[in-house]
Amino acid sequence: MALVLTGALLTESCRKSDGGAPATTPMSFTIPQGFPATKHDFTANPVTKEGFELGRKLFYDGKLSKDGNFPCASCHQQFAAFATFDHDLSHGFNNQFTTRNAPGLFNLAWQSNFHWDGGINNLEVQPLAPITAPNEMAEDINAVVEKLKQDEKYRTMFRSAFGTEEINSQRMLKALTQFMLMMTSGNSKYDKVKRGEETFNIAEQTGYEIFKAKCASCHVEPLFTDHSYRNNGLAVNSFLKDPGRMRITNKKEDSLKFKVPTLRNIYETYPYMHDGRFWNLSQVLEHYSTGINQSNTLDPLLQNKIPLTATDKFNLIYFLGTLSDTSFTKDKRFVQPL
Amino acid sequence: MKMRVTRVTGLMALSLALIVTSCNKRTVEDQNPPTVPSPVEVRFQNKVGFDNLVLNTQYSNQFLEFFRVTEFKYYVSNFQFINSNTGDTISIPETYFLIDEKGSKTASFNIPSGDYYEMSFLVGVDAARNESGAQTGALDPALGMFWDRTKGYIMAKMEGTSPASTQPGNVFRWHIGGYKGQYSVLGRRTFKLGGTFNASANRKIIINIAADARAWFANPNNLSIGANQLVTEPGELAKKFGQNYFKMFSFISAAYE
Repeated sequence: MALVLTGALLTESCRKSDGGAPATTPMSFTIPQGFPATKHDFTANPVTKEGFELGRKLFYDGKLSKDGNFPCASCHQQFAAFATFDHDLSHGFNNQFTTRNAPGLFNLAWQSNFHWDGGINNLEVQPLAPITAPNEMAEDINAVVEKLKQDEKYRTMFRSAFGTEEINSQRMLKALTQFMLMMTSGNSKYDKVKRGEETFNIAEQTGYEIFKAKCASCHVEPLFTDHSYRNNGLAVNSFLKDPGRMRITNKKEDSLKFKVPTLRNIYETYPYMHDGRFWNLSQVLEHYSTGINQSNTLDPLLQNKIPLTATDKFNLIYFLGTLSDTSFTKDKRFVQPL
Repeated sequence: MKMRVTRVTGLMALSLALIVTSCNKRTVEDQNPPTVPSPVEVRFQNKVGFDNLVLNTQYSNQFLEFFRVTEFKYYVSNFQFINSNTGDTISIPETYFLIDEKGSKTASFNIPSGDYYEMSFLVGVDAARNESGAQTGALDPALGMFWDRTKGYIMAKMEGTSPASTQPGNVFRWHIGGYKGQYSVLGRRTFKLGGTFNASANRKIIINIAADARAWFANPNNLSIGANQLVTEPGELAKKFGQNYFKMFSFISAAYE
């Protein structure tokens, strides 16, 4: 049984006195069975069908970038669970690389900080970072708003979503947020097994037992992350020299720490780690079992590495495959609008 | 199963409660006796010492460094007034203003009618608004006062040129912010209005406040241009600048329009 948030119903109640403002259609947000309560507050920016559709159009629109070539979707592709398929670093404006691996976008309503270093404190303002980064979308926020204002279709859609034709950064960001919030991934084989609808095969089941014993303290079920920042023993990339969370907190103890990523849809989101250095899961497991690099801030749980036999790794990889959610990666609600 | 049902009902009840409260616009006006919104205009006069600040004009600071100012902006927010009769502190909701030497230098809003002898405002944008998602009006990130990362709003900005700076174009660029922890630059300044003023709907109260750019350089912290050419993130140095410019405000006068 799924809990349905009624928060979205709030939208209409106050708008009656607004005269000619068009009515909006609330969208309900479903929490998959077994998932905890969301961290996102849906009351401040209730999700509506109109806001969601506007957000979807914006997400796929190159107008948000300087040269028109880099919509959000250029680095966040649905078939890769909204990560960048097959790229360690993504490509941005004027033949430039991004500096980190694009994470998949889903279950964002359960996060309160965003980016590998947790540098963004609210999903609504996250898009400002890639839109304005010179090596990503490279655009000025005023310029984006101006471009949208020139487009009659947008004027209509902003009116449908927010009552008037006014286009400003706040409305744009709120619409993008509505779209991204609805990306819930909770229907993988793992979820079906948990719901008693399917069963693991022997390799998956054995892998799951190893996972619970050796991985689950950081990759906590059911979101498969504890949302903490940890140094998992990666040698510093001498070109990127990425200090991780220290860049945000300016604290030495946060040096080389990065957000523990979810493992959901992990088959779709390769390559792995904040800089995409590992191209497959064998390399990842090899790192944890033999490759841990010692440093001052190395996570205590990894001081002795994670001993894994070849069979353990085989079974773990089978288990991780059960975290792929094709009903999400093929969900028609999130595809590029016509 | 019963627990689940209770949770759903609870949520719905909560939502209903929110609907009720969100439509029932309770404000300070609900007090007894009934009050009416009364206009106040706080005019900021940017100064360099005793002179009015003029952009691109040469001044010298406490370290005898010459400088010209090209940008001078700061946030003031969360205005409060103290009622002379009740002693109550009245918080004026949604008072956020970007004072910009190149743009608006006034903060206009309504307060409940009544008698007041003291005004205060937050220098900067309160911590909550730094984390509340996309904002508009004075807090629109398109105004260039919002860092695109975790650091929140640039609370105050002074940019200019000085021969004391070795940066390209001899620029100095001070973007000051930080809203949480030990490096928060937020603080509330309080001003006596020099008497009691009666706010009423048909008469505007004008309050003049001076903001002295020279305060940025000294007291309590000595911050020369030469030694501090660029400050572009929250931290220890920004905090020092915050402590200095916190003191730049002074009360000039209050009068009825």
